[in-house]
Amino acid sequence: MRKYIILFLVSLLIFSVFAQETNTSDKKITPKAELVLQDRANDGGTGFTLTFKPQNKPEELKTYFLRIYKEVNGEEILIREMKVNNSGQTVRMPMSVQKANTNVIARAYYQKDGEVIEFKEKSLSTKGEWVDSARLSAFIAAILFISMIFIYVKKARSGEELFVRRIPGLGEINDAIGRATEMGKPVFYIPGTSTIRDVATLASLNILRSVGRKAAEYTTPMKVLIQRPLVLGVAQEVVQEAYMSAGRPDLYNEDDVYLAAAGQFAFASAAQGAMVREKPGAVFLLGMFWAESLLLAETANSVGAIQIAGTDATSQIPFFIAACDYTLIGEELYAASAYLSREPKLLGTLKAQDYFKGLLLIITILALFLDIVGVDIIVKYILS
Amino acid sequence: MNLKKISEFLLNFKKKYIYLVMFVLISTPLILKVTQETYETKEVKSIYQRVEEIYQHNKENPEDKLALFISVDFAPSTKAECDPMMNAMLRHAFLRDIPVLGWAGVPQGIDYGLERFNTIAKEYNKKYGEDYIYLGYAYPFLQAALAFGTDVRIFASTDYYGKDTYDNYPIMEKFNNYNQLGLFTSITGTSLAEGWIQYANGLFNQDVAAGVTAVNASRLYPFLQSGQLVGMMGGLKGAAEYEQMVERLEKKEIKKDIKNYLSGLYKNYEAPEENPRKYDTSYTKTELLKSVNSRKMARQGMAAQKIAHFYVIALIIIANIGYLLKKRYESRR
Amino acid sequence: MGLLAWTTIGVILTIAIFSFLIKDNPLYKFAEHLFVGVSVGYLLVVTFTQLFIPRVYQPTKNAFNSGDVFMSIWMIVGIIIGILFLTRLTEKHNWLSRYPISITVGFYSGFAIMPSLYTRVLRQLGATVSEDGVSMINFQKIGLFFKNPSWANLYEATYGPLIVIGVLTVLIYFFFSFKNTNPVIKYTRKPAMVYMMVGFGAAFGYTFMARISLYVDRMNFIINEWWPLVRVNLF
Repeated sequence: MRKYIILFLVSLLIFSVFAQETNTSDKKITPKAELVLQDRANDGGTGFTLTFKPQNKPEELKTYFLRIYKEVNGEEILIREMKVNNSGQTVRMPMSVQKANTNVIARAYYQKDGEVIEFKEKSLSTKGEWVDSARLSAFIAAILFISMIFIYVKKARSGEELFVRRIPGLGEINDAIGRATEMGKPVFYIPGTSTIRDVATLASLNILRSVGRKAAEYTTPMKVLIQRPLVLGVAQEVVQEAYMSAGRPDLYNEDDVYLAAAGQFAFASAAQGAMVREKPGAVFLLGMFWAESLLLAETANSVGAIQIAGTDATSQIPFFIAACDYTLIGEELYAASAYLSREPKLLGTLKAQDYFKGLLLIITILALFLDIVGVDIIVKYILS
Repeated sequence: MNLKKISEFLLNFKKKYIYLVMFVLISTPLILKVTQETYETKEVKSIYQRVEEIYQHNKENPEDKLALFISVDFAPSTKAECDPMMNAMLRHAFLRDIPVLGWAGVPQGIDYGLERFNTIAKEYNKKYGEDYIYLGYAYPFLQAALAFGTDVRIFASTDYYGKDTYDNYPIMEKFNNYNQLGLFTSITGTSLAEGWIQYANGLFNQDVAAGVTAVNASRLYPFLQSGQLVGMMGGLKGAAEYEQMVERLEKKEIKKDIKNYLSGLYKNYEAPEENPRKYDTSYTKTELLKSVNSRKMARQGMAAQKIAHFYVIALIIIANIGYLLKKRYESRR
Repeated sequence: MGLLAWTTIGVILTIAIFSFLIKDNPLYKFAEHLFVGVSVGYLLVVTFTQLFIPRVYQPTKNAFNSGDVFMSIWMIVGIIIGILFLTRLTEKHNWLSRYPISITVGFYSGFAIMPSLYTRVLRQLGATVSEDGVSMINFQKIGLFFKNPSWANLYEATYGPLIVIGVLTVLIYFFFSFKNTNPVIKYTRKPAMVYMMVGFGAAFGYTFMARISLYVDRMNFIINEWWPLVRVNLF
């Protein structure tokens, strides 16, 4: 009896050992994870987000692998391959492809016995939107503003009187040109050092037309110094038109409107040199300026010229205020171009700007009051 | 008291003597190599912290790293303020093994930016094409900003050296889109930083930081306040602050004297035949000196700044006293 | 020795430019003209190597090599329109340059409308109303200052209202449609001027630091870059 019990216990022992070994070798890891591909909203159709949430315990499965493919002409091209360490945290990766409406496939793998095995696949076709809904408020504001411009320009063209208050400093333009004429010295005009795309440059070129016309009427030589090639072309046409409208096309000399230099300080050096050599009676510094502003203003001051400056560059306004005789601050430059030219387009635009500003001011004050009482609807949907 | 004489004396200092005194006052701390430590402001600290966050993210997600983009939007004419900022940011990124991409937004900055990138990369044994890359000239600006929204290689089809960015550089395969950039920094003496805020942040919600000359710094405070800028280094002061923070980090990470560290960096290095570095793997005496000095450029400048500012304040007070005395004299007449 | 030579030339040119402080002289003129000439020459080279090759030649080559017909046609059309800019040099055909100018000005102006409005207007006005979800006119902070007066609480209490008043008054200053006698314009003019002048003063001070920095950099270049080179190489 004892012999049979011992035999039974030994066989039980042997079976339990084998059973453990069998369990270890047959232990099945079922990889689990949430794999989501989401098209990115409000883009041109190239963006998507991959979200991967491991659902195995870290001690169960330490590492996952992800491969992301894009389909090009029926062929799958690998765009990204990565190892994800299972820390239990969700991995969220925004990604992009080059073309819109691309089929994107994401596959998740795990490693078993040195082999990488796929266990999940998701695909998506990226889509673009026609409208970026996150920027809808800016779009509506733009449409509103443009409509107001059309309305007021139409009013200005129909001959309706649009009031613009008098801007100090503008009356001095005629005096400055007159002074230069009396002294027998030329007038220098620098329409800023920015590109033709800059609003300040465009406003300055409008004022250039008025200044050019006045200079032609007084037969005062005028030199226009330019830094940018595209501005040169436009400035030459503006000055030529100004001289023609004053009835003195013979006075126009193309070489008087010239490219002084291309670089910032190269231009400043060239302009300073020209001022010191030619000693202008009046210098107009109207437009966008950077560090060269004080160099130009100081040099003009040192040669005894009267200076009228105007810029929307807030960093340069202090220098112009300190060094120049008259300064147009910020938006006064744009208003000056409308005031001087009295062109319906410019007047209408100025009025539209004013009323749009007024509307924004009212919205801001309303938003302020609402925000104080805890209602942030305007800030959330309009102002952000 | 002869008010007229005093006011005339105070208001008529000869320019050449003013310049001469300024020359002496600025040169003295530079000759004596005085450095000025400075307090650190929130604006600059937020850039530093953002870069540290990128480092943490890269540590935790080695397969999904974020890169740093530095746009060299300044010409050598403004290198006084911008160069220390760029050097400090590059050192910070390379110390933390953050991949760096760069280009120049202005033509005069192209070669200058490349020289700085290679010089700083040399100090940390970084490989071009793997750890950093320089994409040349980013013009036109708008197309550069928009290209990053999908794949910047559409725009920057070659790097500065003229090699195709599609096939030749591992860094470009991984980092070619705003999604893969942790921070976009524009270091500029112009208004290009505002352009990046308008397009990169406005259209693509990319985190943007700016390193600007003091002239433009005041323009960017509204963007800081509204959260459109992560942070801003304004002028030499901002550069000095960042430089200071990076020096502390460098001392902590490298744990030895910089001169010894640099001298020993390429001692046993044998340049492989393929993938040569874009710099000489050795340091001459003058290069070592230059490297060590460049680490405290901004702070040396701040010492001279402090004296110059006090001098100008004194001149303004003197001139105002003279002006008031003149007014009193004229009113008495 | 080469580095010393180039750095010495840099020092000479620096001093030549600074000589303008005494008066305009041939050395200054030489340095000025050299700078202008080198800028143009450099720009020419850069335009070819950094613009033409990577933006025109390489993408066109890639488009043709990859067989992308649409992209190839686009590139050729773009190149032709770009070449039209050069017609400005001729008197007879310079009207053709108006096409690329109109496209450039039109595209850039139009594309900038929405981002400008969003970034520079709406977001900024939003930041004037609230910051990080907290209203700029925060009565709790004002109350906290009166309960516990300190510099920090004073700053917190006044920071928001000062910004709000500044933004509103300066905006009203730039209304050009109302007469100067309008009460709103009349009574906001002085506070607006104060805000603007304080702002300009701060910008002026900041800019002064920038100018000094430029001078400091030049002195640093001479004292800490050039002089050590001279010492090492010559003495």
